[in-house]
Amino acid sequence: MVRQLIYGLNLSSQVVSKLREEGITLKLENQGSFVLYQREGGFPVSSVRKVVTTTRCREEDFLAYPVHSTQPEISTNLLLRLSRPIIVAPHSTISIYVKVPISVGIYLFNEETQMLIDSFSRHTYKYALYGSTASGMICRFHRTDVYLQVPEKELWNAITKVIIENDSEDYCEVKNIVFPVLNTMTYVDEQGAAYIETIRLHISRGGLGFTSLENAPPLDGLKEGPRQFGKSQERVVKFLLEFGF
Amino acid sequence: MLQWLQAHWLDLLYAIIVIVVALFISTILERAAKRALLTRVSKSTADNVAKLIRYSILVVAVLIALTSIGVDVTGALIAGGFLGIVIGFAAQASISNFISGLLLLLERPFKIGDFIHVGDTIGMVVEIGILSTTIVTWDGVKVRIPSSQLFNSSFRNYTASRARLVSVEVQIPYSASIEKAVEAIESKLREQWYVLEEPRPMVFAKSFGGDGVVLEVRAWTPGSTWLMLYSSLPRLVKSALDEVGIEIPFPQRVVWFASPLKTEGGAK
Repeated sequence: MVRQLIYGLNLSSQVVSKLREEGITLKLENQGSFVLYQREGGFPVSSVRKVVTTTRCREEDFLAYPVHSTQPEISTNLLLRLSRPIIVAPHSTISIYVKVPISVGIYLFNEETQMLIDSFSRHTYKYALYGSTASGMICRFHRTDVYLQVPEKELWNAITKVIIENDSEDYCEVKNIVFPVLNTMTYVDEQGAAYIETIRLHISRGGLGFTSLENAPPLDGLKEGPRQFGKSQERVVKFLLEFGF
Repeated sequence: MLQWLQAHWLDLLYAIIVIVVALFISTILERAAKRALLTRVSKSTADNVAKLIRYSILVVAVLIALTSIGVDVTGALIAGGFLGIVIGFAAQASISNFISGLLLLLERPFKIGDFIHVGDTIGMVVEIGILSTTIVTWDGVKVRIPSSQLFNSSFRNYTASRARLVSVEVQIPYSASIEKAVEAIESKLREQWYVLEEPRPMVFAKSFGGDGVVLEVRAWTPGSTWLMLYSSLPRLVKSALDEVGIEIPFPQRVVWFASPLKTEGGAK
């Protein structure tokens, strides 16, 4: 099967040349007992140089996996704006596919553990205020189209499934989906495309919206990526959309 | 002594139980108070408040125990009351600071690392104590602010704001296209990651100035990146106008001469 994208691969020439097409240059230089990692281009940091000390560092130990494209010090939540709002009938459930922005994460693996040594995107991250200026929250912002089937795969976007459950007595128009993106699981397929775990948007009888992380891949046969949140960190899996959807 | 013990053994037992229970409760409350306060104030302040709670419980327990075995503590209480009044008058300011400090701990209007503006002082909170709060100003000067001043005056907490607005005014010549200038500036601002997509940046003609049309440029940014936008907004506006060939006008004056000017060569 011919790989189209780069996730799950080591820093081979295929990955390096694919990134060069995007304006990002990666270089690994073996210098005896250490390896010099260099990157030019990308966002948020445009130039990175790191020295990795290891007794047997090989190119195969550096792998590219999808990571979330947000600066945690600015926001850990993602606000997805649907380009076409969806109207969901009362007491009904629908599933759609959307695209979530991601960055390339370069991991260093050994038998016991791994470490994220670099992450970058080609695109500038944008943020928006969800809610009012007095009490809203800053979220990573992304506009996505709505797909009824699995859409085309892209390097800088992961695919996810959103299950929208309307338990209320009224029709509901969904324009925004907000959830804690930094906690979501990532997955890759055999073509090197990225996915994140399924999201559920539940609209209660009172018309309140809650998003929750389903801890399940959006499709079968996907391989789980490294976890971005540590084992000791509590995983936030539910989010109340207090300013509407 | 033996007779007294025989007559009052039940009271003595009660007193011992009161002391033991008080020791147990005061220890638990001391630890709980220390844990709760460590995230809000310095370690020494948390220790002192926790000890104060413990000893207050023990003092009350000792008074109850002494009363139960027949010791008359009325005199001690009256003397303590008088002493309290004297200390209260003498240490009004300190007590006011102490109580204000406790109330601030409960209210938590700011935390360590926040930038606050109190009176004429702006700086980052580096220590929160019961009696005072220490902030470090922009130029690195440490300022100690008594808790009563903080509690009784209004202050601004810049860090608590989720999003902040930065605005600047710029003039464009009367001959320039307002729409072109507005579009150029808005586009330039939207390229910056620290300018929020929503609320969107806004540029509009505000008034007519002496040298040109006054545009107001407004952009929102996350609270933590306020300085980034504040320090770059004029540069971004100028850069945007330069790219579309709009020059920010110099002050212009039309000068009329009362009598014709004589120039070299005799021309008027």
